Amino acid sequence: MLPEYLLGKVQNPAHYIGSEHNIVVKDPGRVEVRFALAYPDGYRVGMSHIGSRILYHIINQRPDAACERVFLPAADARQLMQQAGIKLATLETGTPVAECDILGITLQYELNYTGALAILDLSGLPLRAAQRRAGPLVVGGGPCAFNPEPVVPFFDAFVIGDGEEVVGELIEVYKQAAGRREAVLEGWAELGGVYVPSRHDPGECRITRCVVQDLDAMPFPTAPVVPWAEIVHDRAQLEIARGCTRGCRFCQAGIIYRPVRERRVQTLLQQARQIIASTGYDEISLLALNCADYTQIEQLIDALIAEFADKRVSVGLPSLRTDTFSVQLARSVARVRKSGLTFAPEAGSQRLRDSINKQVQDADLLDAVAAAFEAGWTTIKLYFMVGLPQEREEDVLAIAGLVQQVIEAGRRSMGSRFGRLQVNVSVAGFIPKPHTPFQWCRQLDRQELVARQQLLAARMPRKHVKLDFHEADQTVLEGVLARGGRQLADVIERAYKSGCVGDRWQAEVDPARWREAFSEQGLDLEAVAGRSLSIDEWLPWDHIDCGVDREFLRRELERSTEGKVTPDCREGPCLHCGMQRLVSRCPEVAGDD
Amino acid sequence: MIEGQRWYARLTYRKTGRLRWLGHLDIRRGFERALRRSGLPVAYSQGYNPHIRLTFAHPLPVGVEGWAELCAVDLAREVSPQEIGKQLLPQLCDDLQVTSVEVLPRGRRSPFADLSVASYELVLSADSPRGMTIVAEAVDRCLASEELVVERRTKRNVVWVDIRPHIYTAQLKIEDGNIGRLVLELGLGEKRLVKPQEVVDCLAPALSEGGVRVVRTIRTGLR
Ligand code: SF4
Repeated sequence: MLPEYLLGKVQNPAHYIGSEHNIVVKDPGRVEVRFALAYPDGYRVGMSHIGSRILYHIINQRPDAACERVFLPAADARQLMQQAGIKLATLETGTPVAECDILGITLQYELNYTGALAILDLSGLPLRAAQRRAGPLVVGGGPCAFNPEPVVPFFDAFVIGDGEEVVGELIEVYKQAAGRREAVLEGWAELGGVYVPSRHDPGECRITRCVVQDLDAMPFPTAPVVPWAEIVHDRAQLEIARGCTRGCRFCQAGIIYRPVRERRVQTLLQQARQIIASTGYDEISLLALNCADYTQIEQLIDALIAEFADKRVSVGLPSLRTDTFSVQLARSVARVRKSGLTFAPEAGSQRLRDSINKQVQDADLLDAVAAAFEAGWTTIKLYFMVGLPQEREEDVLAIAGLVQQVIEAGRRSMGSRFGRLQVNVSVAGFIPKPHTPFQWCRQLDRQELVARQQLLAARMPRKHVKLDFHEADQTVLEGVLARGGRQLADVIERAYKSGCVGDRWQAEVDPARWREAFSEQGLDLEAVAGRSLSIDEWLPWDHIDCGVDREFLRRELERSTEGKVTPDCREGPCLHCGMQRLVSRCPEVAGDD
Repeated sequence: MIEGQRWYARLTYRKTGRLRWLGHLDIRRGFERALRRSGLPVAYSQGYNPHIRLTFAHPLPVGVEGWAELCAVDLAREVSPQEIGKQLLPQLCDDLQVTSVEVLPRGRRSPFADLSVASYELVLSADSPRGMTIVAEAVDRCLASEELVVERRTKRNVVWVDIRPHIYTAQLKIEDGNIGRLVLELGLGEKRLVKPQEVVDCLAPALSEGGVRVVRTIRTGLR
């Protein structure tokens, strides 16, 4: 929240005023624990994050605690605040963050690390936990907490895994310890899934991820805050499932959210009704890593359509598979075909797709796009990656070949609409992420990455195609931060102080300043990125037990080099990936009654 | 009741406090969602992407308060103003709230085609009572002048417009010396439009000479 006299001077005052419908404002005098929940990016992005909304709801359900939101102010507002000596304050009550008891910061992307430092700095808190004697205890969470080491010095604790249950335990311990820092940290260190660097030695501890066993029973925000200003995902969100066991070998989400847990159709329908009634939204988006994998997806869609058709509420499926079944689903919900359909074959050749365990055949993609064209779509989005382990020149060129075949499919099935065909091809660079089978693999350095992009661009058909590459510098940096160890904390702090406030959405990443920050610490950004790690080397995240065993990941890496695919454990036998240690019935599939 | 007659609700609302920082599109979205939550029988447009038929009279700029703004929403059937108030008010909030409701038959013309005057109140704050007097004199001089030409930038060029004919009232009421209220009545619509800021620009020399700042701008009504 910004004071009145600054609102007239910023570009988006509506991002700093709060007062939204369904905001929860509690009397500070009547709660025992004040929890500031920060998203280290702007309001538009942060308000779209479902995880934060879930925690906001769960904390505010407690009579003894208040959860208040904080977002990273945009560059113009940050500057004004610093000039005027204004400290960051919550949107709910305008309370300075420094006066709250706990500050939670969600870490969704590595490039938001500097944004997290900006939150601390703008709150007037020392960046390093060791220097903080007063003010809130700072807790990190989210996917990046699965390798917390690069940001360890800035946090008092990290929550690893699902936050729904453990957040209440954090609050209980805080109350019992009457807020005394050392006692709270001592208590938190005893909780499962909470990493307290001042109490846990990475060489000796093992922090096992929090796993929600029964997703269906977990609270979900049915009266979410409705923003005045437009945000990125400005619609009702319904989390239908969590986790994915398809086993793509580059994918971190496919490991750290295992196993697949689903909500029941009846539960979802009930939640959808409440959300629509309490928000007035006209669109519901179904969230899962892969909506088409939800066991009763057809029943769910039918039920939602039956419920909402005459209320003028549409249903959206943002994440689908590359097959005709998914196109049928998309077809059943889409009123208008204006936004394109997205498919992610990831690699161009069958050989490489086998090695990354992306079990999609060329024919699946071509059938799917043909079905989409016949259903009336004219825009198709395709996601690919370059720089994957074992990629050869011919694999890169195969992407162009596949796109050409998509265009041919359009020529065959679109008839007179063929002229309107547009294929948007988005190409990311491979990033080895912690807790994946490819965590040991090397990443292309900047030069190599650009060379592959150019190779592909030269062969890509021009007509009907819009080609877009992820920024090479950003990709390299993301990879280095993702696999970094504690020594990167100094680099991140320097980068922040030299003005890099990574704002992923606006891609405000300044590569030159980052490179400088690395070299000041005697590190070469490119060299770090290009390193492959050896199988028996100690990895900075080895003390974080995500549930999946290192041995499983190693086996998967081996199968990758042998070109062997591994089936989804939901379709075949259990692979004993390690999750069976944490989840009694694995995989759990919700049966609806 | 005439067969086939369509109705609309004419809503008077205020936009105050922190919510005056909302942009026009934010207000529109906010009203649409509030109407959807209210469950009132509002009319939707036809087509693939139906939307609520909602019209606003002369949107307010970001940061300007409005005490009696107007919008109109088409109804699917006749509903009493009491019923609309009862269902809609709980869906809005203190700083964006409907203050009166009329239900009227919908004609062909836009419900706001006849509005021609907007009244404003600008709160001025001076460092000294003398400053306020300087501004009061400047206001009188403005009113006494034959023409007041201001610069208007369009996308392509700059045009010069005489705003004097459409300043219907300009009066500075001085309260306790250092605080003043500049009451304005200004023209509305394509040909007659005068923005309060344009009047302030005409007073700029006096404002700076007298050390006077505009601390608040309120649109008090439309007629
Ligand atoms: S333990 Fe077995 S069933 Fe569970 S996620 Fe791992 S492989 Fe799948």
